[in-house]
Amino acid sequence: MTSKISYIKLIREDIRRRGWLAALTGIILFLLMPVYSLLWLDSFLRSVSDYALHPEMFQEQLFTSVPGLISGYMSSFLPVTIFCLAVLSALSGFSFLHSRERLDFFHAFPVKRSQWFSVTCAASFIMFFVPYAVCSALVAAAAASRGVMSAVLAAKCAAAFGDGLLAWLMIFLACVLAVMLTGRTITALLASLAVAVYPFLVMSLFTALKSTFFETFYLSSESITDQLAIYLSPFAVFTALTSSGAQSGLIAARITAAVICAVLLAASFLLYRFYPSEAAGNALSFPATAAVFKVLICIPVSLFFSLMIQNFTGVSGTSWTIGLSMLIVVILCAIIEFIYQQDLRLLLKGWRSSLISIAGTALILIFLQFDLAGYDTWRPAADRVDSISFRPDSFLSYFPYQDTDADNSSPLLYAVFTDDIDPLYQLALSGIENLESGISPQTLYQSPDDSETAENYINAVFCYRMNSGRTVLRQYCIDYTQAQDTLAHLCEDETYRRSLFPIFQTDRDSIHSIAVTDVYGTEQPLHLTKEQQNGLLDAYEKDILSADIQEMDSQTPLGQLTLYRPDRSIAYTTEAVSVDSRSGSGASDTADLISTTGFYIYPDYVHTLDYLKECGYVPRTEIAPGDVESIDLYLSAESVQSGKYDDLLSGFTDSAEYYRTYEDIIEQQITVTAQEDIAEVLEHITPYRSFILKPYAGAPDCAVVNYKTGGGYCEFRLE
Amino acid sequence: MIELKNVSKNFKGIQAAEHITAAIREGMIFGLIGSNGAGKSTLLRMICGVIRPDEGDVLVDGDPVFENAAAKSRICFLSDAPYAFANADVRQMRDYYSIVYPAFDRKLFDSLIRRFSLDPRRKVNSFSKGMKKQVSVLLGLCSGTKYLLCDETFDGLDPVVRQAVKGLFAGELMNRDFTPVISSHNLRELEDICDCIGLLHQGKLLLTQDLDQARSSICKLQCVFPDVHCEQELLRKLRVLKLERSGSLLTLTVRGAQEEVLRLAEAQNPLFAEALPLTLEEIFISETEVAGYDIKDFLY
Repeated sequence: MTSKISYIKLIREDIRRRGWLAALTGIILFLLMPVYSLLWLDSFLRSVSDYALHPEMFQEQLFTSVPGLISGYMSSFLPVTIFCLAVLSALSGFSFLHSRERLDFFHAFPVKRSQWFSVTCAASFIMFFVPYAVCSALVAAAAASRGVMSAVLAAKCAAAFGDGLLAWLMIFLACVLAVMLTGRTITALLASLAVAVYPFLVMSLFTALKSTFFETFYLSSESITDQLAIYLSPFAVFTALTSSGAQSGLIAARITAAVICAVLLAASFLLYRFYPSEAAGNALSFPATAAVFKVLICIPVSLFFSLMIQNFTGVSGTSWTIGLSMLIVVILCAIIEFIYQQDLRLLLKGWRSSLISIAGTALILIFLQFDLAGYDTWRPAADRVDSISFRPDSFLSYFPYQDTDADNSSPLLYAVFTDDIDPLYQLALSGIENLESGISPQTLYQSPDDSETAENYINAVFCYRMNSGRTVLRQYCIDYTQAQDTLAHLCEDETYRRSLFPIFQTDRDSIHSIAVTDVYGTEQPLHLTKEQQNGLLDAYEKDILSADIQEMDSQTPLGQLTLYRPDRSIAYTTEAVSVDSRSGSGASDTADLISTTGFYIYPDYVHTLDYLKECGYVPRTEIAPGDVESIDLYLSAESVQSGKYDDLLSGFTDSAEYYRTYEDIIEQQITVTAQEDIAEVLEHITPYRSFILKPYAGAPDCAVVNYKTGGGYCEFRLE
Repeated sequence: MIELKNVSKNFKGIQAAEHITAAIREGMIFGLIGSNGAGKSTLLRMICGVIRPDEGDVLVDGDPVFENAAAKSRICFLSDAPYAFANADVRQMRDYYSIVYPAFDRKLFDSLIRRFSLDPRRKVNSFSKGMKKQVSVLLGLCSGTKYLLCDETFDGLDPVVRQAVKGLFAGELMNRDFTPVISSHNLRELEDICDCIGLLHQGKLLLTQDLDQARSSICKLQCVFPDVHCEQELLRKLRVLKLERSGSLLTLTVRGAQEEVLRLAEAQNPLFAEALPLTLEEIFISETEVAGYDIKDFLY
């Protein structure tokens, strides 16, 4: 009777039979966990000599790193190992289903399939759990032996252990499901891959295809399909679990992993109950599903690979997508049919499913190519729109966003919604009209900087917030002047203006210090009391509230303010953060601080300028040649060949040094040191700056001014 | 009793078993004969619950067998390709069988292993094909199950071992409730061991017959008569299955007991008359020919 056959004895026998797997697991995990941890800890503690004095400074890093030694975050080998062990466990445990002799042997015994399933899963789990638990404990012990263990860290290590276990379980069950769907080990491996990545592949296609075929599509990290791509795919969740150090943000991944495990377990169990013993040796265990699987695999995979090939080769254009997709779908049909039949002469046996796959792919491509759903020309009914925001590309470079360590990848970062929808609605409609007349965002991106299109149009993302709460994003190419007028109109509303300019969202309490940059381009710290800081920011806000948007977009700023805040995320590092990539001075006392630059000071910002004057600082408006040690000019090949700077260069004295470079863009470097040459060059340079609406036109030619005092330097645009 | 009720199984369009209805009674050795691909293994795999019939029922002592551990605990199936775990020696296989078959007789197994001169410490996969089959048979025999299904198990055993195994089967039949079912493509392998034979051909069970009854109900008569009248008179009285003439010698395959057939022949005053028993092979050829099948080509 079944009850007389002990589960424990069967599990023990299974472990004994697959003892090689247990041994392999133990050895590899031992090397990758406790041994690697000791090496890492010793290396880490040696590199941070003041750990003993200020252990709290390193707490944050250790809270991530030590659990990462368990979950795999700190070593890319560990996640790969966990993945491979899970696959090995599943295949070795259930591969008897793919061999008639072994299947007859096991299934003839008076043991129900449910018991075999439980026994094999339990034995596989134990063979991973025990060595992994022991090695995790040894990692924790290693950390404790180096004096870096605490109750909180121990809890995080336990959580990381759970993450690793969950990650293994998910891949194991995905492989078990694949084994149940197939009759051969090689097809089981392919099916494992499919089960692990298929949801990711299909879901990510939604975004990728829209991005390829639709001009107005704007990639949003918040799209449902992208989220589903991550949370439906075992492989993506596995990556999330093993590539973090037991952080709190993993809760969603953990819950998803648990749900995926439950679904995979139930599906595998059910399939095993119905698994036909005669399937051993066949490609699929349920031959009736062959055509369905073929269609389900061929259509998305062909589209995915087509896009991937284009991505790798840099080839763009929907005609390539269509051509490659059709070619790949034909090849895939042949490959899958070969896997099914194992006979080249029978490649056309499943011609119906091949035809459906090819036709399905073609239909999708036709649907997208001719925009049969009207995606690009979609406009919401005005009465269904609750509010609209628009964000020209220039906002990204113009507006400094205070919380730089927040999620600044969100496309809605600068989305300031207004319920005064008419101006923006009309602007969006003009974008659709432009698109219909051939002026699209892509056209603008590909236009030369000095083209008429580039000068008269800008790209902007519109976000419609519908009455239902749904948000819809579209990117249009719109007329610059019309956009400027619209923004000026919107900024007449103080609430909108306050929402748009980040200075109004700045947490003043968090500001450590303020620096100012003038035309020299080098920062000068302002030694202000907290009250003075607030006074300066009050004055700055007052200027912004009264500023003319059109003026702001045409004037050259006198300088800019830089706000410094403590950077909690790098509290443990010993290196200072460079606060201005273009400036080589003025940041020596800003270690462990992060800066937010781009608070431009325009000539009509009288309140700000007056306050700075009160504080003893008057921004300089011209660079005195006497302050400059030398200037390095970097000229592009195009400029050299066009003779754009011939007049300038011909006036240089003999002291100018010429170098020929062999970089891709810069062809010639010239260093001038003579005062008359420096004065001449200073006439031709302007500071780099961003415009509120005009996209910044990057110039390939630049000049690096090296100052005499302080060894500072600054890069300018050469004109 | 094992009952097969209208059992059918189809593999990728090939009818491996077609509407088979039969009963295997307890306490006798049942032989399943058929050529390669006749469906013997499929039938045994259905009986032991490895594969599920497409239609029909397989009952073991009245219980359906598929996914029924209680019913399967009464059956031990020895596949035509015995499987042993990688690196497992004879003792480890014994231990495993003793887990899944609680009635496994370890003492008997150990003694039989010694008797068959098999090294219990040797890895099973290092044994020859015949030795693996010996281990497989001994494991099955000692599992203590009521039914032992042997799929081509005797093929590959040398004559001495085969005789020894037959002896063991006979002993088990005497000692306990034991019903072996043995399949083979070689009729001669089975004729001296089986009590009952089932003949499978192209997925169909052509007949099942008790061997003693078959032997006693059919015989071969060779006779020479002085005139045609006597000969015709005899042919009218006999149930002739087959008639062959070689000169004046008449060879008849007839239904009926040997003595009765000879008595009827002698009543016609033949010049010569002799009744001979048929070999099992001849019986089956005759029976199947009567049923409309020509099975000479697949009987060895």
